[in-house]
Amino acid sequence: MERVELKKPSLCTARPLTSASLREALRVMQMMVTSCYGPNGRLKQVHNGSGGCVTTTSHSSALLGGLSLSHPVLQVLVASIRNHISTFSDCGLFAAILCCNLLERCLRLPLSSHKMIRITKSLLDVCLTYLKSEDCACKVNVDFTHSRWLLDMTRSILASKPACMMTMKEVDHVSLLIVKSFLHKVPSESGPDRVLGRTLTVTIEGPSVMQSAFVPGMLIEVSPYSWSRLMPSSGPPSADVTLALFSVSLCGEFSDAGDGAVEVMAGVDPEKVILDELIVLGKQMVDDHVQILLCQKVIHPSLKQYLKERGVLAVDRIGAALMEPLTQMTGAQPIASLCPAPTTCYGRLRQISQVSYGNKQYLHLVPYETAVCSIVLCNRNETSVKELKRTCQTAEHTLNLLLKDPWLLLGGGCTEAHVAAYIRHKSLSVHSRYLKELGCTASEYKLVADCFCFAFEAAARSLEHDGGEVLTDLQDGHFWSVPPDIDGEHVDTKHVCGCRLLNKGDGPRWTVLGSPYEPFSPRNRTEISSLLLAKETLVLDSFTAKCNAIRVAVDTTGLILDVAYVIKDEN
Amino acid sequence: MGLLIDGNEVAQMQSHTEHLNFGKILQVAESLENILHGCFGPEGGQVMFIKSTGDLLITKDGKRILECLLLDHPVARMIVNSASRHYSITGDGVKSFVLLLCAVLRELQATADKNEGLLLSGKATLKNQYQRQGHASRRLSSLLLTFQSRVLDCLMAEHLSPHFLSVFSNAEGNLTLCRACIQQTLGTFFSCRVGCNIQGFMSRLTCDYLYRCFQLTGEIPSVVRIVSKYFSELVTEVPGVPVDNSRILPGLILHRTFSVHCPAEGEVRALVVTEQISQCLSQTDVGFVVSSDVQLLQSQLYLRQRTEHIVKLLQQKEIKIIFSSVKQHDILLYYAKLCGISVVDCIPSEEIDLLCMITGVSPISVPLSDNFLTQSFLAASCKPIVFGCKKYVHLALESPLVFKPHSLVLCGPVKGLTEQLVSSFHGAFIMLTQLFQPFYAAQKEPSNNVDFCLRKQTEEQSGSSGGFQNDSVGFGSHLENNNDQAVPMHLILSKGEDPACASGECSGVGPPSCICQDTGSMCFNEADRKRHQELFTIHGNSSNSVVLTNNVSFSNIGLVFPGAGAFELLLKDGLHMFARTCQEAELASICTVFGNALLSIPGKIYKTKSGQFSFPLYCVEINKKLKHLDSLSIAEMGLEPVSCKYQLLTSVVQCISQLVTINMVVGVKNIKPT
Repeated sequence: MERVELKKPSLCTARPLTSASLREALRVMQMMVTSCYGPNGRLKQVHNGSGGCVTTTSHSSALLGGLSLSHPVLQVLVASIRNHISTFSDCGLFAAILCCNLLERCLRLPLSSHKMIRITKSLLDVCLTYLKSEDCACKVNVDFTHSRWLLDMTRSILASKPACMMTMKEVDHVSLLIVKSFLHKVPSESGPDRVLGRTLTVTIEGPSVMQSAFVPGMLIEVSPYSWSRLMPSSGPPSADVTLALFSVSLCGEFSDAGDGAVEVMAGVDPEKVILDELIVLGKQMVDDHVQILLCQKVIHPSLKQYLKERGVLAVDRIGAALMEPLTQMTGAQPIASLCPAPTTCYGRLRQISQVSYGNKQYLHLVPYETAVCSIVLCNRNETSVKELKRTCQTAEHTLNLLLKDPWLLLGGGCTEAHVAAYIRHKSLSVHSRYLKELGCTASEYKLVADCFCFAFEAAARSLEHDGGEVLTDLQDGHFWSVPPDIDGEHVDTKHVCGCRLLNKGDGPRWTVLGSPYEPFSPRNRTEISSLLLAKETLVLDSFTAKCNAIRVAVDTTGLILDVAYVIKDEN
Repeated sequence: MGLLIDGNEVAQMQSHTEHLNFGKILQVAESLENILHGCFGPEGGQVMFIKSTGDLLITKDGKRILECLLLDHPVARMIVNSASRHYSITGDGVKSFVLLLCAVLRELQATADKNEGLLLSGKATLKNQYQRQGHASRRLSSLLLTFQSRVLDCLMAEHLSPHFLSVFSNAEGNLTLCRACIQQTLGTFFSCRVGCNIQGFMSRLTCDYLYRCFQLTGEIPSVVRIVSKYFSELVTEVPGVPVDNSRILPGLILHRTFSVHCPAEGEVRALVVTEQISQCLSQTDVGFVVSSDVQLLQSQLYLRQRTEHIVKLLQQKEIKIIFSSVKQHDILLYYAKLCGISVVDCIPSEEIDLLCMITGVSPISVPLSDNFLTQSFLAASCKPIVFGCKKYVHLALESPLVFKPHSLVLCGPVKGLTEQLVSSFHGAFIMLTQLFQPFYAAQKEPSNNVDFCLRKQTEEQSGSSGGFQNDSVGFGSHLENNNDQAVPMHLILSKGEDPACASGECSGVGPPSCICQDTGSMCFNEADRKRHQELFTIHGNSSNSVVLTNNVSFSNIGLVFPGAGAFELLLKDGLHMFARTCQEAELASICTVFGNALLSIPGKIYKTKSGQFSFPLYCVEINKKLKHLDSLSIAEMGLEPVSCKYQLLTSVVQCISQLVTINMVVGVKNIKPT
């Protein structure tokens, strides 16, 4: 029964942005995301007070997904970043840092919010145009004939999550597996009905990371107890295996009787009828020389027994998630009726074998084409294996994005510092007609441009967690981090910048990143392109994800600045 | 069963009563105004709602804001209802409604305070204070209605119609829609509805969408009506992607994904079903009796074969897609996959309706009749499409109707914002529907007041009148045109009327002029206007060649007015002028009240802008711009549809006339049915 209650009136807060509670909440948020960022970031433990799952992570999807926020403005911020992460999987923390810093600085400016929104939007356009232009000096064109760019990028992503607790050798090993599975996934010829393959991930807790492996085909977990019951006496089928895939339930239940009433008279046994049908089906399988039968749902024990006696391996309870990869891998069509099926529905496998990883047993199905493959990820404990799985999925998604936009950005904070230098230089010379369109003066434009650049530099500076100094050079605008015990001047020439592109030679002057400096125009692409090709390993970031993260951060800032009231329904 | 109310209940009801007087109504209205005035106008901010479920909504839409507030007072709820009704006609103006309402109420209160005898006091002969008050409020209410019908309509026709602009332009004798005008109108609409950084983008997108949907200019009103009716099926919301990724796609987007997908190139033949194709043993209200094992086996076999047979028949006739509004059984999906037929099921019934309307087919029934092929249609292509992280079906069609179906994909960073974009898009099309409806102000002659007519005519013909300082020059020249061309114009609107009564109001809507897109300059000069009118007169005579294919007279469709408060300022001047010469004192004071209240809207818009001028100087600026209209000043001022502005005034007047007649609020206990 519904309870009729007097409804409480809504609570209306005017001008929420000036309130102290918002600033406080923003500060806490900023501290949290800044401290997790990068390979030297600190981990966070997310749990609720009443028991339940505990996650230790620095990955933005797990972190932001586990938070419960009270302030509505923060809810908007987190919602929009989570949307970004669900589409791109990377640069979530970067977007959060950028947004919090931009918001905090813009709130201190004396301009009207509409003006600030317009100017930040125009700065965003300047920034994105530069990044997408041909002579951007911080992007790298991916050449798919070499694997080094793919390996570099995957290595950068894996190394940026400290919760995985991997050494450099382990990082190299796992990134090799990921790139290998990606290359298997992409079809070798292009055509109208070519689809991308799939990579399935199997996680195992216990063994060390070096035992992770790349396995072509699919692994289906089978408990050791039921292994002996499943396997026909002749052993697993050897070569050139015919496979039948069922998506309907073979458990013998008389289920689809329709909406009305079905009366069963005495003496009629519906279950027996259906079991007879199932046996007939099994007989047909045997006659068609099917060697393995996979069912998404449950198989009747009598049918299993019947098949086992005739040398057919029957595996059930596969689940809906594996049906599509199986279809793609073997060419089998899932059969959904108990009628005799045409032989075109059967699929083919190269081989079936039994393998074990850790202390689990798997049935390994090896197909003819290797578009579908599996990666077995091992790590010492549950926390690190979960984080490793998340990170590998991010890496895989980013590699997929490369197929559409084959560009990468220099990582390690160098792109952010470079873009900040470029925008500072550009904002000095804005055309007066453009200012008139925006409706602001040149000094107002410069104020907002300063905040914008400050946010980028803050994002770069958050990579440094150990108390060292962050410098930038006045020639290219890259990011240099100096450990705390060494003086700025006495850094040796082998020191490299954040993306490992530039060496510290003599020549470029230095300044602390974030302090005001004389705006300069960074060197353009042609001058450093030779360096790009020569270097061994670089730290690289995804281009699409980062551009979208910048856009999401600026759009969300604009959205929040525009809010005049917050009305809360107290019921 | 009579209504038996015992004394206890009466006492309870009396304890819930509240006497309502004018001041209380004003108080309630002002509390609503307080919330809305921060979001009014292009410079206003947005409101963030946190619903009790935890969902967030970010909006600038007045109707949404008012409806999300849980209002207690019945007067407030009445005001919100009137505002919502106004919105459902015009698609806009809820905030202006509340602001204007408050301003009029304040002015009425101020007038009543100033001169006691006039408005809010009743007949002196009534001794009872209560009766006097009742009489006063009834009188006020009828005064307001008279004001609307007699004064407002006439003023619209005379003072304001010379300034009406049309979104249609005629070059070389055929009527085309002027794109710049439509975009300007939409720009003004969106500047008050969405955030400042996406306003230009949204108005361009909506204008693009309108242009792609119609073929002939004459069909625009029906196209706009169709879009407005089916808008939720034509729009796809995609949260999580930046706003700039919104785009228009030809054809329909169905908000479901393929259950079975068999890729097919080129044209495909498709069918629509609304029931299950495969059958089960029993159905609702039909029972099935199983009397032997064999019977059960055979029945199940028969059912499976029936489905297979139907699907094979469809395959033979080269049907490639089935659109179903119910969930189809797995066995049908299996056979469809074997025969290479794609299936999309669980489509909402409104999308099925839209699909049937566009393609002209009706859903087939199973068992298949012999001529089911006539109910199938050809689609140019049907492919899966991905937005954000969801998959949809994209259907490209050739439509035999006048409406070329296009789908709009609206993106936004969070769900609360995409909802706002969708609802403002809907509001834009409601406004466009209103824009393309004929605007008949003062079509009927005021039947019982011929002196009134004549008095106004003599006034105008005297040319200038004292105190009418703003555009007497312009007014005079327009007036000459009116008097010269009054007779032919009259023939169009009411064909057989007495031409002797060709006074100001009967000429109804004056010849509208338009900004030529090609030349970029206003064709506001005499020669062009004469040409305009000749075109319309040709239509009236019907012996010469008719320009428009259907009988709709395009002379009073698509009328717009310059924005930024110009309408209110002009109307206010007209009202003041009328009040000066009106014989009835009460009507005159209503006119003054209304005229003063109208200033509040441009006043609020002006306040939020920062500038060097003071408000009176701003008014002078506007008047100057009106005199010499060119495309640059139009771009600064914006355009608004005339019928929407007129509707706002009438809605406010009717709402106030209802409100002032209430003098008691009675709380009623919910009587439980026995």
